[in-house]
Amino acid sequence: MTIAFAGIDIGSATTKAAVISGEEILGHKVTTTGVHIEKTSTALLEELLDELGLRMDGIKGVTTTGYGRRLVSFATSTISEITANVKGAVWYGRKAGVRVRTIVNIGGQDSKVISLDENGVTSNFSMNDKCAAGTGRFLETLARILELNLADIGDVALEAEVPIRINSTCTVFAESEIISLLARGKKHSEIIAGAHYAIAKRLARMARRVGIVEEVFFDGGPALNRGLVKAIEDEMAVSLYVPPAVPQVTTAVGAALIAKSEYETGEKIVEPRKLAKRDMEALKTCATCQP
Amino acid sequence: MNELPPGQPAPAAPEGDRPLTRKERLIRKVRLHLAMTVREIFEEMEKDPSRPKAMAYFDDIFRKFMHNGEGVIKASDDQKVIGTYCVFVPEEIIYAAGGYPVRLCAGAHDSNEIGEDFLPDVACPMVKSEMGFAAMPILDFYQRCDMVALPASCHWKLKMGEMLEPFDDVHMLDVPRVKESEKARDYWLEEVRRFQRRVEKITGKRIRRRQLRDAIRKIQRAQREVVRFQNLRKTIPAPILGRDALEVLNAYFYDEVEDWTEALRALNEELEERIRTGVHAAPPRAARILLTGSPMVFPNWKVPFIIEDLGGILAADEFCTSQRYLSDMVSVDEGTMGDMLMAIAERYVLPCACPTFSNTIERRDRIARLVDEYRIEGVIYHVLKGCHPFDIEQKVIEQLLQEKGVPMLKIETDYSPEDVEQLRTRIEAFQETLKGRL
Amino acid sequence: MNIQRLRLAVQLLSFTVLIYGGLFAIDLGNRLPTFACSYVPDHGGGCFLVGFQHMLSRPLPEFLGEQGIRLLKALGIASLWAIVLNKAWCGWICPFGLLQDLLTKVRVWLSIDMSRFSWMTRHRYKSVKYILLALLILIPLGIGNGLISRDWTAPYCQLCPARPLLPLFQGDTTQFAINFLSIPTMLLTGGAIILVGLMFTTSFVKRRFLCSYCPMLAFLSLFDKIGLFSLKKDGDKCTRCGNCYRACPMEIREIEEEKTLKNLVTQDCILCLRCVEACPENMALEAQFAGFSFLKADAEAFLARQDAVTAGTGTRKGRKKK
Repeated sequence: MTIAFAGIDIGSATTKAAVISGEEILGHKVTTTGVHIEKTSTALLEELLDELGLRMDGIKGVTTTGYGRRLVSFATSTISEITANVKGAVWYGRKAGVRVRTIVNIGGQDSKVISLDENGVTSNFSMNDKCAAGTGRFLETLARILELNLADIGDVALEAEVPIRINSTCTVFAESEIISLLARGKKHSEIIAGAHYAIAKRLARMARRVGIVEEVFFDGGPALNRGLVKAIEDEMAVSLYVPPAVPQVTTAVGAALIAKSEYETGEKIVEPRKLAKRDMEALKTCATCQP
Repeated sequence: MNELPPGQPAPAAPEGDRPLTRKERLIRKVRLHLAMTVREIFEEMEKDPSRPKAMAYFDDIFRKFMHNGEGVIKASDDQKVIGTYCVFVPEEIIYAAGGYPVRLCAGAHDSNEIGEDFLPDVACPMVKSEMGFAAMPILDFYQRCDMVALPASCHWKLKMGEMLEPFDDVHMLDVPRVKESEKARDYWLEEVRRFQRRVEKITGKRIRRRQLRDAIRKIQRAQREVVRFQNLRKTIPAPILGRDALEVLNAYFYDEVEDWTEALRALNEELEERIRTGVHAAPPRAARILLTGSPMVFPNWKVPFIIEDLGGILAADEFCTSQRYLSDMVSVDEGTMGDMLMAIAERYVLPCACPTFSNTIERRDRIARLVDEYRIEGVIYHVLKGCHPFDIEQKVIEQLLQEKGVPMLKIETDYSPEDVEQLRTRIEAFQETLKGRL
Repeated sequence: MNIQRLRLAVQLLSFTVLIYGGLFAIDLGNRLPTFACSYVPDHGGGCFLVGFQHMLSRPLPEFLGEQGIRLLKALGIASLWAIVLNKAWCGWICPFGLLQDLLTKVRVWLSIDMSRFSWMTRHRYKSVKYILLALLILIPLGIGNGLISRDWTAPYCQLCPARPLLPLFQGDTTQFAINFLSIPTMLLTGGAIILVGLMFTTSFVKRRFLCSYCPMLAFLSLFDKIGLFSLKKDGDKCTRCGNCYRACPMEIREIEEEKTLKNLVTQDCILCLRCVEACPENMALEAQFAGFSFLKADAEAFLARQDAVTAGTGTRKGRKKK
């Protein structure tokens, strides 16, 4: 029986699972996180294993990461999403012959820039997890107002020659600004492109604080958006490497890689003393008020 | 003992069931919140079965915060209580005049709401908290102060003086900024003398050589126990958690100095026993973290809890509210009055690493020494929102640590518990990269 | 080990040997770079300045011959003494220094506060000792070449306060007088008496007041860098607490301010080592003899000393020595 390892990235919007064995990704899957984190993660992993024709007892380690990482009882270890993301990105980069020195990640509700040293170890990072501007949430709002599919807005953005500048830094106020632009009859493609550049600008500012060193790896769900990739490349003045497989799962793959290395070395990277009961309660409440 | 549920004020003057005024409701609410916060902290700490027994003494002091702070300070009824802020107020002078010093720097989020009436939105949370306590009777030792000594150290403290006047008898101390200036040092000595005269006036006692010398001795004795304590903390694996060490040092704000020294002596003995018998508070591989930056005061311990819950250990700190508060002794040379006063004045300013001074060398050297002596693996630089002095020095310290090859994480936060999860993610990622654990 | 007690013991021993040594046939020679005053009857050793000034009072051409060799020999011996013990001559041996230190003890016992000069003033007065040293060379040369009257012979000895004072310890009061022979002698010997008075009075407000202006210190300071005694500072360990400056009787700023200077035996340093004892940081200050470290700043020793100082025996109730 093949020895395999699983990584589950429990984000605020979506949960991603990946299974690896040796140096290969066997498979991955994405689902909406919802309210019941343990149930969602369990179901997701079971479905994925089913599809791959594997059994739970063939999985020698499950590492969870992301917002809800501590709420999964069958996890053998947990790791922060920053470290998991780094592990995954460096692995992908090695396979593609790209030396990753900076990682840009845009998630559903946060965004981060991670800077790596020559050995692929985190040397600095900056996170925006206080505000929806510059995250996938902004793009969702945009798609909703313009009555488009989230998957299509990137291509619409690319149609514009010159984007319209969106001034509001806050998602909520940007919504009003966009609506007034629509009312004034501005072209959809230019508005959408403007929104993409607004996100890119915020990200670039964060990246400059951390230090931009090539090659730059871009992942997270929104990395599929080609319009966003172009906008970020322009604002950061670098070319981005986006992993050709689903860029949404690089962090989950990274978590699986951690599970593998912990199994091989026999040592856990994170040894929590104990779980603060108070914070567990807080986490559960936060997961509950997900829209 | 009078078993009031935590947070409830003592029964008011009976006037039948008259409705509470808004102020009374506010006080009640804040007291309740504070009690909840304190109780949570103790529930947390009690989960640890390996806590030294001698910690019970210090716990008792802080538990009293749940009951309006009654009995936290041990001043007798006719003793003058002098509230202090920052590290610059010469406590030897207060002791020499028979006074009781209590440091009022505050760490409670719960009183911020009251403080916000006096201050702009982006104000130092410590100042918001202490203004809240000064303006309304929530912890009774704030109102018990017969005088408050306030150094004009940072801008917030500078302007706080006037804000406090409706509530307290305030004496401002003008701390010099540029230590190389001889006249500034002479001026500071004059400020110390001016403070001495004020204290003598308020206590009605002349400070003579013997009382001053005895006061210096009392504090030196306490500092000696701290030196011993800190040396024990250098042991790996650690015999005591950083959160407990912070509590011990923080208790010095309030407790009677000789009682505190005795309690610390007992704790030191217990720790020595633990080291001998191999009992430790954290695993040997625990990442050794140094905390530096804007100070942390009880009950603002979210960061120490996060660090240690994740399996790291807060091995040392460079806070003016704990480790730095009790370092550097007054050094008596000849024992004459002028010599002792100059020794006191110099001790409070010259080696002081506070970023409100123009030079950074004292701070840089201190952090470099701590990193070496405590075998620190990572430094967390803590900046409170609105705290400019520590924010400005961050780059200089980052450079120093880069030269020493020690990673640093900067966190910016305030007293509110809302950002605990975000802090946890950052600190966790930081601890994971320490010591090439990846 | 309490260095100050050791130093006092050595000072008392030196005093006995230098003032009374002749009674026991002890003779350390006449080229000592310290105030082992030759005017003291039965002295155990003589101050080299006496011979030095007399030897200089010759016409210049004579220095090309035997006189020159004699002068070089005298300077050579004095210099060797200076290299071996450099400033320890001032802090551990000089009888005049001992007297000032003893008066300081009386002051402290009476709890009288001392005062310090402002930094600028202190800095300005540093050159006085070099001026005196230059004068005690130039004036004898002037006498030897007929430019200055013989009333100025051995000008420094006439002015030196050790001359009227130290013979008193052998019961000799003849030096404690003004020489009314001529105006220069009156001025110089009168000056000596004034300086003795100054020494007594200023000892109640300053420490080793006269030493800052002493030409012997100026001479010995020429050997600061090459002397066998040295004082090292490790700038990284220094917390800049300023204890060293406060303890220093010569009010030397460099001991506190310098972080990079290797050898801290500066021109005014008398090697009393009070700075090393006052330093609370392990290894921040270190005294060495010929490269061998014999005293280090030590936190434990500092604590023990503070304990002793604040121990409540008071300054007026027969306190033990620091």
